[in-house]
Formats: sequence, C-alpha cells, structure tokens
Amino acid sequence: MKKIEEMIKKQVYDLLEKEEIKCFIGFEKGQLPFYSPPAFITEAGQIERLIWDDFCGANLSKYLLNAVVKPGEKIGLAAKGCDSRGILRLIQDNQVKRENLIILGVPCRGMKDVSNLTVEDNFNQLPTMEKCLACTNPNPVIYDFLLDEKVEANPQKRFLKVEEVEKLTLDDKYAFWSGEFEKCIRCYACRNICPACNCRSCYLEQHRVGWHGKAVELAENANYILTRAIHVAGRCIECGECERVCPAELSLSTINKKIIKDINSLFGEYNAGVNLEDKQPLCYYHSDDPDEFR
Amino acid sequence: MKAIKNLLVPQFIDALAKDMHLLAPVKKGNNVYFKTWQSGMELEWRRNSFLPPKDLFFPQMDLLYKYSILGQNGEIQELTQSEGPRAIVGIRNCDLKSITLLDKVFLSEGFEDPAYRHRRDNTVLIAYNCSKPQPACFCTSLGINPQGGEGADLVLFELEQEDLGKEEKFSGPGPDYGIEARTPKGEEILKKQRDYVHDTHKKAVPFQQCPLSFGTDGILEKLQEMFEHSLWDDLSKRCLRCGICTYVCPTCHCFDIQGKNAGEEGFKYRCWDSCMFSDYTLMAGGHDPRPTRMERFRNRFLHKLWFYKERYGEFLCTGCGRCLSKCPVHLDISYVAGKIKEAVVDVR
Repeated sequence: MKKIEEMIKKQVYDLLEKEEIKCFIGFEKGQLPFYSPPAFITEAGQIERLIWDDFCGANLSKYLLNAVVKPGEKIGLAAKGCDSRGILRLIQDNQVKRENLIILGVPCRGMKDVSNLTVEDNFNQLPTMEKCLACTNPNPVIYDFLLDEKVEANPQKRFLKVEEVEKLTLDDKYAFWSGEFEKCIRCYACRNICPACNCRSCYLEQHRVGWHGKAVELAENANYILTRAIHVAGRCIECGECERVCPAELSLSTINKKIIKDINSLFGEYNAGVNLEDKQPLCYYHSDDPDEFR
Repeated sequence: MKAIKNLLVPQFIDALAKDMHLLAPVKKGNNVYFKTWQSGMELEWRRNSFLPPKDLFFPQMDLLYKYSILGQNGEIQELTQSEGPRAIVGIRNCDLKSITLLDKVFLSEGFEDPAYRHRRDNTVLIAYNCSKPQPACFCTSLGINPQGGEGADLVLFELEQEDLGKEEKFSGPGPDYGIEARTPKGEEILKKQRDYVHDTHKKAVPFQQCPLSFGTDGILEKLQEMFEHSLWDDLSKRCLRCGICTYVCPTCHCFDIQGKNAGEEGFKYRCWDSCMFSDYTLMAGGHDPRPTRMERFRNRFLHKLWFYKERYGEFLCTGCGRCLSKCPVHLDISYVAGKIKEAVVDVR
C-alpha cells in the first residue's frame, strides 16, 4: 500500500509538473485515521496530501461528471476496478471523453468497512466491505499506468443476498422490500454517488411536472428506489456504492444485482462497464431474444 | 445519590411505558432508532441514534390536513396530532442541546409552531449522560457538557463498577445507572417508580475526551469576511450534494409543504427539505440564487456558524458527529471549521 502511495505521488507530481493534467482526483487522510475521503490536487506542491490505504473505498468516477476542464485539458485520477468501470460507464454514456483522462490504475484487494465503528473497535482489524466481497473486477479495466500487479477476483458474495431473497415466498418478499423501502430517508445519496445516474437534471427534482412527490412514505420511497433501479438496469457497474453510502442501510445493491442476474440468464453473461466495445443487452434487439409475452 | 440496578433498567422502562408512550433507543440492523418501547426489547446505549430526536418533535413527514371535494364544496379535516403524554429515554447531551436550539426556531420570535409546541409540552426527556464518546464526537468544542443533562427532566448515567477483576466485569450484568431528577416532572416520575431505585455511594463514570475538537473563537467574524473566499469552491468539490448531513443533523430544520392529490381527495403535509438539493432555492420563474453546489454548500455552513448565531446567539451545531460518521465522503462541520480557521482572508 505504501509502495502504491509513493508511486501515485511520483506520477501525479510528474503529471502536474509537466502540466499534462489540470487536476488529480485521489484520496487524502481524513479527520480520523480510518477515514480516507476523496481529494482534489491541482498543484505539484500538494502531492504530499495524497495517500493510498485500506480505507480508499469510495468510487471517484462520479466526480468526473462535474469536473470543469477547458478544451485540451486533462484530468487524472486513481482508479480501482470499480472506479475504472465507473469511468467506462461515463465514457459509454457520452459524459466524459477518454482522451481527457489520465488513469492511474490500482488493482484492489478490497477495502475496509468503517460504517459501523464504535470506540471499542480496533481500526487495524476491520472487516472488508461487503461490496468488495462481491467484486468481479478488482483490476482496473481501463488505465494509462498500472501501479501494481493484477489480483485475482473472488466475488464469493456476488449473488448471495439475491439468492436468499429469491427463496422467499411472494408475501415474504413483499414484507422484506416494504421493510427496506420504509427505512429510506430520501437523502438521494445513492443517486448522487452512482456513476450510472449521470442525468444532468433528475426527474426527481422536476417538481412542477410532478413526476414524483416529496412525501416520505412507503409508496413514494418504493417508487423512487425502483424507478432508479430500472433506470440503471443494464448499466449498473456493481460498484456497490449505493449501498455503501446509504445511511439507512437499505439493501440497494440486491435490487441491482437481481436485475443483473436476470439479464445474464435472459441475454447471456454481461458485465456493464468492462468493455467499451460490448453492446449493452438492453439497448439492442436481436431476433432470437427471449420473447415470453408471445 | 439514587441508582437503578443494571438488571432492573428494562423493568423500570416497562413501568414507565405503562403510564405513557415511551420511546427508547433500539437497534435495527446496525442503526439505532428511537422506537416505541415494548417489553422485551433490548436497549442500545453504546451508540447514538441514527436519526436525531428532532424527528420526534419535527417529524420528517408530518400530515397537516386532508381535504375532499364535494361538487362545488369542499371539506377540510385538520390532522394536527393530539398525542398523549410520552417520554423519550436515552437522549444524549448533544441532542438535548439541539432541542433547545430548535425551540428557538419553532417557539420564539413571535410565532409558535403548534405541532412542535404540542409535542414539546407532552414529552418528558430522560437523558443519558455519556461517559464514552463515539469515534466522531466533538460536542465539547461547542461548549456542551456531555454529562450536564441540561434541559432534561430526568438524567441517567453509568456508575463505576466495583473492581471485580477484568473477566467478571465483562461477564457480569454491566454497570448500574445513577438517576437524578432535574424538574418537578422528573421528581414525580422518580417518586412513582421508587421501587426500582436505591441509594448508592458509587460515583458516575467520568467522561473520556472527545476524539475531535475545533476552535470556534472568532469564527463568525472571520466568516463575515469570507463570503467570496475561494475556500468554498475547494471544499465543495468533494460534496456529493446529497441530503444526508442535513437529515441526520439534530439542528437542521428546513422543511417544505407539499400536497398529494388523488381524484377528489388529498392531503397536505410538511416534510424535511435540504438546502443541498438543487430545487431548494429554485424559484417559480426559473431563477436560482444558489445555482451550484458551491453556493449550497457555503450556505449550509454559514447558516450553522454565522446566520443562526447572529440571530439567536449560538452556533447551530451540537457536535454529535452524525455528519462525519454518515457523510459518504467525510465532509463534516469540524473539518470545514478547521479549514475556515486556516484560511487566509484578504482584507481589502
């Protein structure tokens, strides 16, 4: 980790010094030893702020959506597997251009879960984040420099929760999801962190049109969460950030993973945001597509 | 001093719950919520609640009235809550303080919010004094005594355990709790429940230091020179502009009034709103005085550290640490206050 950190610092120093990038998005040390929030570095003199440790779990790709660059300027960023898939998502959705990016790829062994710390916890012995235990692509899928050796994927928990819920009876499923949706406080953090949620103006905020009410109740909450799930269907890159950021601990990636599992069984294995050339199964029609309604 | 034996605490709470609607901190998943107490529930003292108790006085979703249209006429039915007496057990000092800050908003300066007034008057506050801070606590920086119990009717606090040797300490029933009445309401409850209470010489467990701190001296004066400072641009870059910090904050109190209509019937409600959202200051004509995340972010911290203080004489923060522990990118008020202190202000 320390070695990766040094390599990031050196690369970023060179890139900024040679004015090849305008800004670098990485991680810095936060208020507490187990917090490593995103950092924006614009001068070579600031590179000492950059770090790489077990707590760099956030997906940085969404920040590219708001990065302001003039023509010809580039942005650099550190990318784990999930970040790189987010970047690919944004490129595929025509939100950023590949040629405007310099990506420092970092193969990832999984980051630590700091969401439920108490003072008694030893922050050197924290569990790995759930989302990392479901990760199919720990290695960056797109990069300019690779800073470490590639690691093997071990997505042991990828569909675990989905399979658990699938086994429930219809009534139990309804009860389970109602219980989840009822917890939602409508902070929209899941939408705001999601690289697949890259609309510049969200239907949720078009109150005059009245797509969506502000009432925080089961029906409106479910409407929000399910609409978002359908909107990112076939485009979700499985970074699990929606679930990580959710303060109310909704089992959000279970919905997305269920859709992915269904897509895989209906249209063949497809991992969104892994290959730029892949055709997205929900965006193309093939005459041999399943047609259950006939 | 009066105390309750550790094992008697659930029974004490059962007894209180017979007289009034009782809310207590209970774990659901990994989060703690103030839930209606039912016998057999397990109290969670170790961590503060996910949503602050403001939700119990100024709920996220509050129905105001419902209406029905009958031809040319209409009917309106008020939905103002008329709840019976209730008590909240386990409010920490940061959250107690937040209630006094919300009182100033909802009950002073010439207008009283009736729903808030009603809930405030019918609620007994039973505080829990902290002995151990949580990882993101900084209440002492805001001048709050985590063992003060100010504003509470009754105060509970952990008592020192006799030296049983390390092993027994962890396998034993846990500490006893000291209990102290602070108001006549509290005295009355203590008198009624005297069967659960005994006298003790044990001392309260002293408070360990908060893990975080920041200085507030001169911050307001400095902020007054910093409206156009580049700091806001730099800091707000990290912000996701979600509503977590405003919703988990015990002192944020912005709301919206909306209606829901279905055919000939509908209702009006008041719900929390967040200054981080892009439609918050959007006006009917399409103009938005806070068009980007920088202005929204700046406004939130100026409200906490400048506007509220100017109007009511105190900062609108109690150091509960929820914004730090729940923010997905750890962009909290203690960090921002630190950066404001460091910032160089160009005095023209």
